[in-house]
Amino acid sequence: MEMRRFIFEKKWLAFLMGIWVFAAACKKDKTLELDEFYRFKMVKELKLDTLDKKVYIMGFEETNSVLTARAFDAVKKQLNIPDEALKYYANGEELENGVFEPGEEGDYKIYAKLGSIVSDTISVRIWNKMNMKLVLKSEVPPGLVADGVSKAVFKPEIYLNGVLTTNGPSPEIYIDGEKISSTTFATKKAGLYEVQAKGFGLESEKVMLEILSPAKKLVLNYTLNSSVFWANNVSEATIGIQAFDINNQAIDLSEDVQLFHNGVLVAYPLKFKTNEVGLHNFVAKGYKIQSNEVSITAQDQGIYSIIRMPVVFHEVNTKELTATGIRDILANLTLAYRNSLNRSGGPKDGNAADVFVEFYAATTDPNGNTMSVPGLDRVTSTKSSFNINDTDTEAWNSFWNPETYINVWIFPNIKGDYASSSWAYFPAVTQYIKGLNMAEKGSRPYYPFGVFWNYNHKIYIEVLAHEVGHVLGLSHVFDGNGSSFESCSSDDPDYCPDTPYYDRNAYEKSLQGGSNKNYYRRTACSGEVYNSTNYMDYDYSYENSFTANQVSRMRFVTNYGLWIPTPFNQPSGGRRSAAAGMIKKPDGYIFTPPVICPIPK
Amino acid sequence: MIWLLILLGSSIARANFPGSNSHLSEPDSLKHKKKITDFVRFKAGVMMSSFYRPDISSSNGILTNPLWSWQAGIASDFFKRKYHYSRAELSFNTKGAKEYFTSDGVEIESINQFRNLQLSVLPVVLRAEPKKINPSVGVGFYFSQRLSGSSKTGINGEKVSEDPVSLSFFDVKQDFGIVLNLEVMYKKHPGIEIRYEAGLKSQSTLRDIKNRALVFSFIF
Ligand SMILES: [Zn+2]
Repeated sequence: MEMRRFIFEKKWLAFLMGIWVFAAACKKDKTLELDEFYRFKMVKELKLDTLDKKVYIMGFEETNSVLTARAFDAVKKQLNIPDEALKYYANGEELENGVFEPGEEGDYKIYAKLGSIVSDTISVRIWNKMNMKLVLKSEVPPGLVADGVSKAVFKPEIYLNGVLTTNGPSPEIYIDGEKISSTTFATKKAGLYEVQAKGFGLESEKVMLEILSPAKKLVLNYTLNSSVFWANNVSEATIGIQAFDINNQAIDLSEDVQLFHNGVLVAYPLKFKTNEVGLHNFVAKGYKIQSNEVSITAQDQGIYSIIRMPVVFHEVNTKELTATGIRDILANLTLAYRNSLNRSGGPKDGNAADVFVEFYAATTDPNGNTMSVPGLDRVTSTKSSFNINDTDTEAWNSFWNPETYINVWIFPNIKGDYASSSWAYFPAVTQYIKGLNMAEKGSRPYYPFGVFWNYNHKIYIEVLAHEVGHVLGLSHVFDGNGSSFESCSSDDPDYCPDTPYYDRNAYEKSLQGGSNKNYYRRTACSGEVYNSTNYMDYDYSYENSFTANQVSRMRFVTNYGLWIPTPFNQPSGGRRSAAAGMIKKPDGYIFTPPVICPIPK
Repeated sequence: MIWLLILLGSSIARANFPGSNSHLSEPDSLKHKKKITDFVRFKAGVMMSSFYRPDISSSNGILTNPLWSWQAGIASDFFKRKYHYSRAELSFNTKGAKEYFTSDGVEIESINQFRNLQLSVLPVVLRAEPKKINPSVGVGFYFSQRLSGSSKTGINGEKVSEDPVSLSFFDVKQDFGIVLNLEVMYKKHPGIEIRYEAGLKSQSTLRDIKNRALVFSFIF
C-alpha cells in the first residue's frame, strides 16, 4: 500500500514533469505577419498625405519632405497607427524615417505601406533649376490698342532640359519692372512696354510689347461766349478735344492726351481768356497723333480818346446830396463806362468793352460861377409830388445846356404811371444811324434832354448808367420799355448784334409761380440761353457790361450826337462858361414821353 | 464569485491532496458517508490557450506560445455504469492568445484575454474495471459565452497597454467546440485531467480565427 502509493506519486510527478518539459520545449516564439495584427486588420484605407507642391525645384527651394499617412477603418474613422509600423517608399525604394530626400531630378511615385496594406500613390516631380529655362510666350492681337479692354495674354513656358513642361509652377509676369497680378494686360496708355517672366530665381528674355493708340483722329474745336473773341480777359473760348477710333466712334480721352497753346502745354479742359491781342494757336496731342490746329484771334476792342462829361444833379426839393455823395456816384458811373464796375459780382458778357467815357461833377454853373458843391443844383419846387408832366415842366425851369452838362434831375414823390420809374431821352444825330432821329447841328433841344433819376433809385448806380446809356443813344436789349413789351421781332431791337434779345413778356411769365426759377437766365429769340449782364436790360440782370457793339454805337453818338457834352458840340473843350446858359422851353412845346425804365425789383 | 470558487477549490484540494500525511488513513471512511462530493465535484487548474487560423500553418500554436490562464468550475457525473458514464460541467475560464506580429524593424506584442462562462457536456466517458488508479477517456462538446475581454498591445518591447480597436476586432462573443478529455482518478477521487478544447466558431467576422485550449485540472 505504502509502496504503491509511492509509485503512484512518482508516476504522477513524472507526468507533471513531462508536461513541464513539453511546455518548455515549445516555448520558442513563432511570429505572425504584421498584417495579421488585429488593429491593422481594421484598416480599410491607408492614405498618404499630399505634399505642398507637385513640383519642387532643386537649387531654389527645400526639396526634402517628411511623409505622413493616415489609416481609416470601414466607417472612415481614423485609426491610431504607430509611426514605426508605417513604411514609405519612393519609386519602390524604402525611405529612411519616412523622409523623402530626392537626390536628383526626376519624377517620383511615393506611397506608404502598413504591412501589406498599400496607400494611394502621389507623384512628385523634382526639377533642377540648373536645367530649367523660362521662355515668355504671348498672344498679342494684331494692332493691340490702348483702349483698356483689348489685352495681351502672356504664357510663360518652362523648359526642363530643353523639353516643354506642363502643370508646373507659374512664374510671375513683370511689365516695365512691375509685377502684374494676372497673365493678361490691358491699358489705356499707348506705348512700348517691356515684358518679362520671372520665377524660381530665373528670368525670361525680355519681350517688347507695342500698344497702339486706339484713336485714329483727334479733333479740336472751340466755342466762344462772345460774338468776337476780344483780348479783354473776359471773352472766353472753351476748347474741346474729341477722339475718334478707327470706326469713327467717339471714345473717351486717355490720360496722355495733352493740349498745347502756342506750343506750350496747358491744362485741359480749358476755358481760354486773354488780354494778348493776336493769334492764339491750339493743338492737341495724344495717342501718338496730333489734332487739327485751331487758331483764335483775340481782337483789340479799340482804344478811343477819353471823353470826360460834366454832370449836374438837379436835386428837386430834397437836400440829401453832398459833394462826397456826388463824387462817389460819378466815380462808380465812370467805372461802369470804363468796363470796371461789377457790383453784382456776376459773370461779365464776353463782349464787354470799355466806352472810354468818364463823368465828373460840374464845377461851374450856367452863369459862370463856381458851384459851392460841385455837380449839385438844389431846386425848390412849389409842388411836393410830381406826375410826368410836372417833372417835364419842372425840368424846363432848370435845364442847363446839355452840350455842356449831363442833366440829371432827381424827383421825389413821383406819382402816376411813372411812380417807380426813371427815364431819359435819346439824342438826335447829324449823321444817320438806325434808331435815332436826325437834326441839324445847332438845333435846340425840343425836350428836356437828360436823365430823370427817380429819388427812389438813388442807390442804384446801374440805373443811372442805364439812363446815361439812353442819353448816349442805346436802346433796351429787348423790344419794349416800361410801358409795353413786344414779343420776338425779326429785327434786333437795339441794333447791336452782340447783345442777344428776348421776349420780355415770356421771361416775366416764367418768373411767376413754380419753383426752380433762374432770375438771371434769359432765352434769346435765337434760342440761345444766356445770363443777363447788360446795363441796358431790365431786372433781373447782373448789370455789369456794355458790349463792343454798344460801345461802337455810343461812340458814334458822341461823334455825331447833338445835346451831349462832347468835343463835337464843344470844340473848345467842354468847360463852357455861363454864356451857354440855361435852355428855355421852345414855343409851342408839346410833351413827348421819354424812355421809361422801371425801378429795380 | 470566481475568487470564492477558487478559494473553495484550493481549500478542498489542500484537505484532500494525495500524499498529505494527515489524511492518509481516512479514505475508507469516505465510502460510508454521502458527501456532497459524491454528486458535485469541484475542479480547478491552469490552461494554455491560443488562436487558430485555418489558413496559416505557422501561427502561434497552442504549444509554441500559449497564453497561460486559470479555470475553475463544478462537474457532475450521470448515468453511471460499470464501463461508462456521462458528465456535465459548468466553469469559468479565460481563453485568448499571446501573439507576436513582426515585420522588419517592428514587433508588436498582442495579448487578448476573454473571460467566459462555459458549459461542457461529455456524453460518453469510458473507463476500465475499477481499480485503485482509474483512467478514463471522454469526448463531448462545449458552449461558452464571453463575459468580458481585453486586448493589450505593446510595440517594439514597450509595455503592453489597452487596445480597444484590436478588441473590437473580436466581434463574436459566443463559442462552441469539441472536447477531448483524459482523466486519471485515484479510487473515486481526487483525480487529474488533461483536456483539449477546439473551438468551431470564428471569434471575428473579419477573419477566420478560432479558440484552442489545453486544460490541466485537479478534480475533487
Ligand atoms: Zn431804359
